[in-house]
Amino acid sequence: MLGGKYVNLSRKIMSLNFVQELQQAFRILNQQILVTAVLSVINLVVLDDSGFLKEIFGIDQWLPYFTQIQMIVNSLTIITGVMLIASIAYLMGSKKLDTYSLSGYISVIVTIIFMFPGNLLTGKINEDLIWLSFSAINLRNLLIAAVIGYLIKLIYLKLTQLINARTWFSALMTLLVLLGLFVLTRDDWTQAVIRTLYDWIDGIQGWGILLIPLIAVLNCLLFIFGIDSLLPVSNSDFSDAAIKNLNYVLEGHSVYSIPMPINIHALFDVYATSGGIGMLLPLVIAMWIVNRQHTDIHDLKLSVVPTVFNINAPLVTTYPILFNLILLIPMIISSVVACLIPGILILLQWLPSSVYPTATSTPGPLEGFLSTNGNWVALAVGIINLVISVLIYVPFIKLSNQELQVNKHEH
Amino acid sequence: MNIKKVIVSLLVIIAFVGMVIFGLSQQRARVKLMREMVPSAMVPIILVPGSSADQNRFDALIQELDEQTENHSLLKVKVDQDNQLHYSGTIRQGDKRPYIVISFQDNDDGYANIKKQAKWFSIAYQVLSKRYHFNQFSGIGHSNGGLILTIFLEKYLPDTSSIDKLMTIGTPYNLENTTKEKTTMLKDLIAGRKQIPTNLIMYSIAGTKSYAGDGTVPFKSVDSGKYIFQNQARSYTEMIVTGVESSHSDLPENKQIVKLISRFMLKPTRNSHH
Repeated sequence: MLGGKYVNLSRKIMSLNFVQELQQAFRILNQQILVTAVLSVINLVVLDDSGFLKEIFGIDQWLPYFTQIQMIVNSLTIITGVMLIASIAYLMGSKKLDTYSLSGYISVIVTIIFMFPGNLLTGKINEDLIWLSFSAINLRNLLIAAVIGYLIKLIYLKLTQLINARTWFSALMTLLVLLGLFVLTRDDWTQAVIRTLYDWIDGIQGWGILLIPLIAVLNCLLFIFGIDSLLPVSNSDFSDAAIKNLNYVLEGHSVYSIPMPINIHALFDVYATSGGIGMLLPLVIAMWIVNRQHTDIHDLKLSVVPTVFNINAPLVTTYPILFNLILLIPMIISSVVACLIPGILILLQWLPSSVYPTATSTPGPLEGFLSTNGNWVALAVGIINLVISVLIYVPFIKLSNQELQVNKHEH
Repeated sequence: MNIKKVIVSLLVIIAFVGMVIFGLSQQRARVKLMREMVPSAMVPIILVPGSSADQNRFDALIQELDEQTENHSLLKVKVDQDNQLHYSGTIRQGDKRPYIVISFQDNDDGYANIKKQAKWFSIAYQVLSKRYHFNQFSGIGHSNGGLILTIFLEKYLPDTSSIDKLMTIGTPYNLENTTKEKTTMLKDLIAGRKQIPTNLIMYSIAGTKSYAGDGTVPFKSVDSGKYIFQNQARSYTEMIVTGVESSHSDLPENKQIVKLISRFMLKPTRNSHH
């Protein structure tokens, strides 16, 4: 009974205008997304100074013209990435896809204003921001562009209809939503709020192990509705606890006596974000297992590699994962389990806490292993987490497939 | 079709194992680098007495140093022939620069014994560095104690540890040899010199009661240290002390040497790598 209601809700959300249009836009831009994704993987994983493959294979040591290649690929990634963002904004902002659209054009301009990497008033560009936001395809940019496009189109449609108090009012309201989004997407203050929350939970220790899964749930919820990307990634630089632990260990103390073994970074970031927030690597593996008989899994294969290195935009844009409430359930369960397993082992002192920083493009199952500087239990936990998560995902992917079939028939 | 599947699975496994192996070696190197950049909260001064001297060899010296500067705690550790450690004294909570004297039950002279003592020293070092959480130290060795420290640096210094400064006092790098001819020990020490940390700041002090040496160790033998440390350690400084109390066994209490220690050795060199 409850399950039926839940499936109905999922169906309703999936058939919302915005969701339908977003998925259509992603479908149209499929090739462009794949090209940008391939470039992103090369840029972020193979060539970037802190790229996982670059680090482990010392690629800069033996590849001739490394610096030149690095710069060219980086430029290409930024260019294709910005083009993709503009295309999404245009598609979402235009009323009809095939004609020249003023509202689409306005959407692109507003999006550029939103994402300008630097000070808008002085025109001064901040290179760190370019690296942070555009060195790889990222879902956050695509979704912000989509929302801006959608809202601009709403305003445009209202103002071009009969102009009366009501349409003016609703256009004004939409504009306010847009401004709210602008404020929300400023990193500095959202970061401050989340940092305070995270530091508070990390400070609890012991029983904090019960709150960290809640953080995982919150992250999954936000992710499904496309908001995850409004949150800054809490890497080890971001977490006070992680910095304290690292310094403590580097001073020569034992990793088993660190001040804050139970923290969000050590459990959630390291073990429960395999392929990005929501354990997307096991998701794509489960999808492949369920759909391997089908002939149309070519795109799925292509999105596996980026997902391995935590670049999930190709997967999320190719498959209806966003707003899919059915997939939210396994996402939450597997994220919580993936936090709890290492958490309990750390409390029992069978596993050292994750203290050493790793590259953001480190494959999920390896993150625990490397962040404990090669603890084999951590590697086992990484693999077990992956297997359990795949098993959790499989039945729900089957269910979601049926649902999508139903949806298709209804449209 | 099946062959294709097998190949793909094999490739996936190979890629995974490759990432595990290469990822680990890379991460180990990175962690080592980070460890070196962050020195331990405690950086002890480890003192090693020469042959026939016991754990109380440096009492007068340390008392002198404590009177001159701030008071640091003193831990004495004696290693017996069964690798057992016997402690006396303590390290005060929060003392970041304690003195640790490591001596040996079997403190006989001779290259074979010195090698054994270096091995015992390494056992004591590993236990102490874990127990008191340090990964960096400064060393002072009197006479054969300097040889023990040198052999330790060449053969036993753990990857995760580093030494910032070493001072040897009247250390006979070429044993009692008064000629240029190199003893087996000196040859061995020269052969292993590449293992000596390149960021080490090294001081070698020679006592000269007469023109030839301090009465026990010939000056030429102390001077042979240059063949080991010069052009390997970051710096190698040789100093000669003469005057009252410059005979070999008086050196640790020699006023000039006490001054040199308090001037060059008491403060640890932070972040000497960068």
